[in-house]
Amino acid sequence: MIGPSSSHTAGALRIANLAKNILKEDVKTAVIKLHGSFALTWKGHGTDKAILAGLLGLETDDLKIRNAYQLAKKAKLDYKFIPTDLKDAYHPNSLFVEVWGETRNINILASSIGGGIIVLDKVNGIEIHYRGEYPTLVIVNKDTPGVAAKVTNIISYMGINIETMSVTPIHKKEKHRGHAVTIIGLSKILSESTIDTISQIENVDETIFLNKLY
Amino acid sequence: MKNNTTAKLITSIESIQSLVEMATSRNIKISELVVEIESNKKNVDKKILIDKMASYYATMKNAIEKGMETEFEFKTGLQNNIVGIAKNYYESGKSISGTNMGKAITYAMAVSGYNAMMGKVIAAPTAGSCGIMPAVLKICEDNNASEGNVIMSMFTAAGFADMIAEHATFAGAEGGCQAECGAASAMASAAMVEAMGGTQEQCSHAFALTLSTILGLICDPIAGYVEVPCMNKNILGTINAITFAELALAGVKSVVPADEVIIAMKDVGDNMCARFKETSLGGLATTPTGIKISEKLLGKQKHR
Repeated sequence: MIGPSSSHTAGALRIANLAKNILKEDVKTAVIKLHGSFALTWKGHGTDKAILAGLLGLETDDLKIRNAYQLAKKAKLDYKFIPTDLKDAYHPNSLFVEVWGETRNINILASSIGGGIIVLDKVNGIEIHYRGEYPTLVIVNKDTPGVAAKVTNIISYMGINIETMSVTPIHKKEKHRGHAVTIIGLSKILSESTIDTISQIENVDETIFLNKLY
Repeated sequence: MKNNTTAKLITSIESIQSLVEMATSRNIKISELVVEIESNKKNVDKKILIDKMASYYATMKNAIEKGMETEFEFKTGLQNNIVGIAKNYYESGKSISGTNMGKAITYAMAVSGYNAMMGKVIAAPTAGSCGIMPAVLKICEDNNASEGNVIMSMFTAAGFADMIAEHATFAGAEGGCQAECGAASAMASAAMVEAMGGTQEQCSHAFALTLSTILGLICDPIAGYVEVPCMNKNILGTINAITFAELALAGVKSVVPADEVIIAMKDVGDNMCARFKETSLGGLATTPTGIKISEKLLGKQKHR
C-alpha cells in the first residue's frame, strides 16, 4: 500500500472507494466529515489525498495517490473536508462520507480499525457493520412475513451459499419505521440481473450489494 | 492416529500456544502450519499464498532500496539526508553496536522514510510501523537465512499477528504505538527466530519478550505527520526485535506467555488516554517545539 498510515491513508481510501461503489456513479460532489484521530491528524497522514483518490477509484497501492489533488481538479470533483466530533459512541477513526453523482446521492459512516482494515457502520443511516469478509447483500424491506424467504430462494436457486445472515427490525428511524434490514453474507458475488430480480420483490424497498473488500 | 491428526481440517488459529503445540507435535515449522490453516480457510492452494507472501517480501526489499536512494522532503524539520548520515557512520568502522545493527537501523529508516513520502510499502502490520519487518527480515537474509525461509517466516509473524488482531488491535488510535510498532516488533522477532533456525517454542518466547518490553508505547506524531517520532520508533522496534530474537535463540524464555502479553497490551491500550492515541494532542506533539511545528504546517488548530 501507499503510506504513510495504513489506517489514515489506505483505510481512508477504501472507505471513500466504498462510497463511490455504493453510489454506482462517478462522484461529482463529496462532503467528508472526519472524526476522532482523523480530525486531528488527517493532513499529516495524507488522509485528504487518500480520500480523493478513493472517490476517483484509485487502488491503495497506486503511487498516483500523491497527486490526488491534481487528479480531483482534472475530474472536476467538488469536495469539502470537515473535521468534526461525532462524540464517543464512534470508533476513534471514523469517516462520514456523503457523495452525489449524476442522478443520486448516498452517505456512509465507516471506521478504519487498523492495518488498512475497515468496517462499514452505516449506509444512508442504516446500521450495517459490514467488515468485507464476504460478498454481502443488504436489503431494506417492509417487516412482513416471507420477504427473507423469497430472497434466500433466489440466492439458493443461483447455487450460491449463504455464509451469514441477520434480520433486524428498525424501530427508531422515522424514515424506515416498520421496516427491517436483512444482511446476507454470500459465498459468491451476485450478478447484476440477480440483484435486479431481488430488488423487484414485493416489499423490498432498497437493495445494496457490497463486494468482498480484500 | 497420525492420519487422524493430518486429516483434521483446521481453519482458524485458536492461540499462539496452540500453534506452538500443534507445530511441535507434528514436527513442522509454525509457518507451515499457518500456511496450511490459511489455505484451508480461504480454500486456495498453498503455493498461491506463498507466492503472494514472496511478492510482499519483494515489495519490502524494494522499499529498502527506494528509501536508500529517494531524496526525502520531510515536513517536520527532520534532516532530509537522515538515512545517508546513519549509513555513512555505520560504514565508517566507528560503530560500537556493529555492522548488523547498523544495517538494520539504516533499513528501518529507509523504509519508514519512504513511507512518510507516500511510497509503496507493505503494512506489517501497519504503514506507520512498516520499517520493522523489512529491516529484520533483510538482516536474516544478510546473515545466511535463505530467501525461501525468510518468506516462510513471514507466515509465523502473520499467524501470531492474527491473535493481536483478534484479541487487541493494530490501530494507533485505539491502542497507541504499542499496537503498531510494538506489534510489528514482536512479529519480526518471531519471524527472525524461525528464519534463523530456532524452535517453535522459541518463536513464541521471542514474540512475548519483545511485545512485553514495548507495552505502553504512546502514539504522539508531531503535527500528525508520520515522521517524528514515528521513524525513530521503527528503529526502536527493529532493534528490540533482533535483541529478543537472539535471546530467545540463546534459550531465554518469557515468564508471561505470548497470548497473555497480548491481553495485557489490550488492557494498556484501552486505558491509555486518547491524547496519546494518534490524536497529536499530547506527548511530543504538544511540546513547545511540537506545537510550533504544527502551527507552522497547519496553522492554529481550532480544536486544541
